[in-house]
Amino acid sequence: MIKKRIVGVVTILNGWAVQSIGYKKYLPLGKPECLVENLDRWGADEIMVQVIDRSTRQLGPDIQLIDKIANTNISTPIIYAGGINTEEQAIEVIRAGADRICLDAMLHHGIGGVSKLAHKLGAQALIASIPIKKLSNGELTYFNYLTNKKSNFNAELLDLFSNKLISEALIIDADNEGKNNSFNFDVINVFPLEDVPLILFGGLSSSELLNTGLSNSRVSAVSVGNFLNYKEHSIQNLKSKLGLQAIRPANYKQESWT
Amino acid sequence: MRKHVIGILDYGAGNCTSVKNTINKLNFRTRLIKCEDDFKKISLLLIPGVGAFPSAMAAINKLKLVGPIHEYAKHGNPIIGVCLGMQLLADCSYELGFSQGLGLIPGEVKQLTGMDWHIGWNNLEIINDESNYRLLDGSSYYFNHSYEFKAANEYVVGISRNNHTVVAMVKKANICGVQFHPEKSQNDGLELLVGLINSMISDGESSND
Repeated sequence: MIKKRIVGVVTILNGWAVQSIGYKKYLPLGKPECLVENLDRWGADEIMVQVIDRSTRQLGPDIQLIDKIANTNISTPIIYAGGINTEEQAIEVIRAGADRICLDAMLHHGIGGVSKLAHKLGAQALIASIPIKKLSNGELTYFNYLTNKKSNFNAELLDLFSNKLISEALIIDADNEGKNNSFNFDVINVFPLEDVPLILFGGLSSSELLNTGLSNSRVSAVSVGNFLNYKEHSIQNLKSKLGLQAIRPANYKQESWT
Repeated sequence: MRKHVIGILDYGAGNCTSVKNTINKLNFRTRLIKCEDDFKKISLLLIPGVGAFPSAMAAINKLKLVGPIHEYAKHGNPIIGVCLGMQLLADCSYELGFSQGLGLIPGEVKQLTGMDWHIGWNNLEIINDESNYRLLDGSSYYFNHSYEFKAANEYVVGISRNNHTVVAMVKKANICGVQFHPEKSQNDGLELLVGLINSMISDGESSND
């Protein structure tokens, strides 16, 4: 059976890997490629590199960074997120060494190009970023970071999922991102399509919370950011604690292919 | 000892950089194949793949590479297709309409049965007795696809299971394909890739003797 995945997330701001707290406060962690190398060595199932200032500063994707990561000789699939607005930029990201891309800005301002992108790269390479935030009235809603306003699951966006032009949705609990053990599972229910595989992100740290997430039939993967950077071999340790059949067992194998 | 040169088909949308870096890490030399002349003195052709079948075939046709690939295969030279690269070995595909493939291994590429996607890590199950590949049985590799190569049974070497079976590895003489990404499957993938490249080159050299 296909295994559910643990995705290691590296958040990047101004070229540096950072610890993010609710996308509001940031603490520096070091060079992004060093963190990616650690996650690769510790056996992450996928690694997501999210560069959070590329869309807001209209810089386009950070090709130089992807290139640097690709040259580190890692052998874990890379998901890239940040600054992708056009079909050409997305193709450039894959050519530079990413395996999949996570779309955010393009879903709001270039949604017409997504189906062309799926026809070019294959829908399996495309993930949609769906940040969910709590409004002052307590309502949980899909949120647009670029306008800083509530957004809607309009027909065009939902059609992309229904027509299988996007393979998975990254559901982000934006309020709890970076906060220890705080993921609010109610955010899952904000996303209306029940047959779309979900990747959860934001405040998932303890094995109990990850277990709850991975046991949900709608969930194909859980993403963990800051919490993986505190200790060596964090992915292996986490997987051993989880002990679930639904995930790939922790891998401690030494390199023997040379 | 001479390092083998692995040719990597560069048709525009593929993940050539990832594959090239991995092959270099495995101590082979690499050359990107963009035209007929690039085929000279390569020991093996690797067809990588991230993308959709029709746009990949259109790019290969545009670069006029179908003829040279056939010529390379006809002389017993080894070819490995990875993910979409494996699907391109088929006669045709029904992804986004009908497209002709390279026609190197009989079969058709069709939508997965009983699931929309096959994304993540799954075990490889070797289903024929070729001793070279028995060692791979049970190892876990990274898959990322929604269509599969429905190859003729005699060419199916390995499968994976996810409610339904998925063709994971095919082989016909000097042509081999894997549906998963060995270059993205950590140690198990790298072990498979280095073993497969060496055995395919060695088989090719003995058949050309």
